[in-house]
Amino acid sequence: MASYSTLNSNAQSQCGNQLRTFSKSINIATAVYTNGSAGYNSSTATHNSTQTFSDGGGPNSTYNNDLGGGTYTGHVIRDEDAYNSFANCVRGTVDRIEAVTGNRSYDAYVCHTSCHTSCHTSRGRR
Amino acid sequence: MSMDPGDINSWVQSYGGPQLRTFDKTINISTNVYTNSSNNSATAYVNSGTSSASTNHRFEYTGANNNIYNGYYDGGISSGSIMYPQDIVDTMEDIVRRTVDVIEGRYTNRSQSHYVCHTSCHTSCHTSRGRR
Repeated sequence: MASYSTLNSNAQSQCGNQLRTFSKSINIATAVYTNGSAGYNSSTATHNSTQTFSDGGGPNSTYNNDLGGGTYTGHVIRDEDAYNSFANCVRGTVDRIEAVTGNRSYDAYVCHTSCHTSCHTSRGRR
Repeated sequence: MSMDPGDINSWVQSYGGPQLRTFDKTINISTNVYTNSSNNSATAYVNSGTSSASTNHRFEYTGANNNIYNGYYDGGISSGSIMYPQDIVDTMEDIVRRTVDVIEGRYTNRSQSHYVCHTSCHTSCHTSRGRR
């Protein structure tokens, strides 16, 4: 006999395991000023950064009580218990992934430091 | 009235799809880049050689079709068979897996231009005759 408590626990652990697989790395290309030793046409370059979005720490409790309340052994599963369960777990997944998708900040220094320094001396901009 | 596999398949689509379409997140990506450092004193120079620029990037799936979830229900659910509560749980697992997979597909490579330094300054440094 599977009680609601047991099934609710199963839903949390099974869905939680899937949530924690969320992991995607993307490349963010940033066009910046760089060395232009070959002339005007080479005055910019691209800095590439790999940024990873993941939820390896997604808690099982994300799905606590997402399972419809009438879903347990010995009770007829009502339509609404089934479809509410489906809507709930997708909603929780989307909300959680949105929450772990945060702002990013990193260095994109491509230009020669020596060049930059020569352009901006202690006496101001040349 | 008994529940049919067709009902379950219809519900994962019609109830999962609208929730998936709520996925919509914009983040700010900031880069630290070389910038102008004019009017600096000798002591301030080192700390004023860079600045940051930002671009917003949006990740969303507001146009997701319900049929993304077509067929994503537990294999133990079949016509004429008893459906057990665990079958509902297993179906939830299936559609969470599917949700994660399709959202991962929405995280695509991005590009941005962060030109902060004075163009004139940069040009003066890098002439057609090469780097000064």
